[in-house]
Amino acid sequence: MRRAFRAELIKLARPRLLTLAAVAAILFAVGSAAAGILNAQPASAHADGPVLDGFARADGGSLAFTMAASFAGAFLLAVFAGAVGVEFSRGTLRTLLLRQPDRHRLLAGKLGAVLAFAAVAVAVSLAASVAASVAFAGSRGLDVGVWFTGAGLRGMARDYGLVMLAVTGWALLGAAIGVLVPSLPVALAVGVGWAGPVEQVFGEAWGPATRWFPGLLLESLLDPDPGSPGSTRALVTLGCYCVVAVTAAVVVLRRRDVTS
Amino acid sequence: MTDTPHPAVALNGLTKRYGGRTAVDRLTMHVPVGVVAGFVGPNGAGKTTAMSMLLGLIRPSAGTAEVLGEPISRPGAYLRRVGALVEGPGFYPALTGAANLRVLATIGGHDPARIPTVLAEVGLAARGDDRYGRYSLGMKQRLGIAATLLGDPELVILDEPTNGLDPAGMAEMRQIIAAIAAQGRTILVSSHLLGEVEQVCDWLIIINRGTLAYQGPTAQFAARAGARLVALAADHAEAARLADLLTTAGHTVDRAGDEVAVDLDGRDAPSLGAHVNRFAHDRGIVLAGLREQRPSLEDQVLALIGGAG
Repeated sequence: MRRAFRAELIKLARPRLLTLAAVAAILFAVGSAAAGILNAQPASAHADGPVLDGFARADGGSLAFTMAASFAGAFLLAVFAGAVGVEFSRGTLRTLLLRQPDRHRLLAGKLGAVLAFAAVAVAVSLAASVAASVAFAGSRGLDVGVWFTGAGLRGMARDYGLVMLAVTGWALLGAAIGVLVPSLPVALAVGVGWAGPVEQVFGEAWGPATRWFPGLLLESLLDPDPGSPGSTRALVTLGCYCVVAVTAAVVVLRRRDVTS
Repeated sequence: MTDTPHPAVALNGLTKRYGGRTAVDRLTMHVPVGVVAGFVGPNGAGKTTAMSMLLGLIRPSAGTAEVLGEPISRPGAYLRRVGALVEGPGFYPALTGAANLRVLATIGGHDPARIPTVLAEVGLAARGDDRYGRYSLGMKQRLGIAATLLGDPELVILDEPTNGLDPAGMAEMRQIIAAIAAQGRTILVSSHLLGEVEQVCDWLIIINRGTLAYQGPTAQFAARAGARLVALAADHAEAARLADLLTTAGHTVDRAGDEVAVDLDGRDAPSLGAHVNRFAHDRGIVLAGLREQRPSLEDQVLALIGGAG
């Protein structure tokens, strides 16, 4: 598994990919801070969207980032489903299996490397988001000093952990779709379709959906609505989904003939 | 390399079924250590499926097989000693050729210091830092061969390595395979291009519809087919008369235009040639030429498998 991890890092550490990832992470961060802070309304306005009072709290420094990250689910699911699916369709998985025939170790190592890469990207993006939030805070009369107190920094660390938890959840579900659905276009369609229209439409029409659908549960970890389940319940339910998805993927991967 | 009493590859009743279709049907064959074995058969004969089962990519439906003395149920026990290219090269287009090999060396636990060596062996030393996505088809195939050599393997398995190559590319690939064989490695190479196989392989395995049709030394297979002596007469009428006279004299002949083909029937071509020349001369028939004719490997294989494919 360690060799698969290191091999995947060689693939990820290309200068071009690193530059693209850094640019995307910073743009996402700055965009999220701008959208969050500049559009925030006072709580008294009772408007939809970000609330200015939230940014005034100690843990307000990373609020814009977590709110924006909660909308990235469909994208992340598609990325991870596609990353696994393309290994099958391009024949690279076949080439790798000729060196590492233990399929589970291979996939676990690759996934671990991608998550390590994501951990760095999320950290960079969070830092950039906090910096951008500081820049925008002045125009809204926010005191940013409170963000850098002990409580504020703990809040940022907690938010980083929650985002990584959500990314890991999306990664496991996406990788499972990539393994279970043999066709890359179909895997992408299933991933995007489910996390996008299906969950969102059902979520609007059927109240309990927020307590049961994996995408909405992951979203609720980062940006809880009043109707969302508690974080413990959400984590337990998501854990069950991940166990089922990973078990199904492991069984299929072990039995599947690699013919492309 | 280890000296092993086992054949490099041994299949015993290996079978692969997909629903009602049988791709490989109770295939029993072996590849001795040290040979270049040609694995031939028409498209869809089951060559790639059989090779994929040897490499742990496809699960057999029945039967057993061993690679380098290890059962194929435990590919981890032998794949480090095997280099394989199956179903064409599969590499990351955004990485350079050398970086792709670095990925494989890392995952396979091979020495990355061998990368320049294997790139040079396949003629890609100057192009290792180019992105794989920009390689020509021939270069992609050569990088695939380089990847098979990373672990300094005892056995190299190549599936249709000349697929899609132009004649120059095929000739290069033949040279590369010959060079690999000269390093003392056992090679199992599949192809449906029999001319290619004839030129590089000293062991031949022919399969058709998933079953074994022949296995043994290539020279022995070539010698099975009856060679013939072809006499070229001055015209049609002379050829017809010569054919009649030779038939009357007990020879098995076949005439086409000015040519009369005489079966060797166990005799060597020079002595039969001298005999036919004298026979014709004594009867006033002038011969314009005499030559030995052997059927090509392709003709023989087609005769064996009934022109399938």
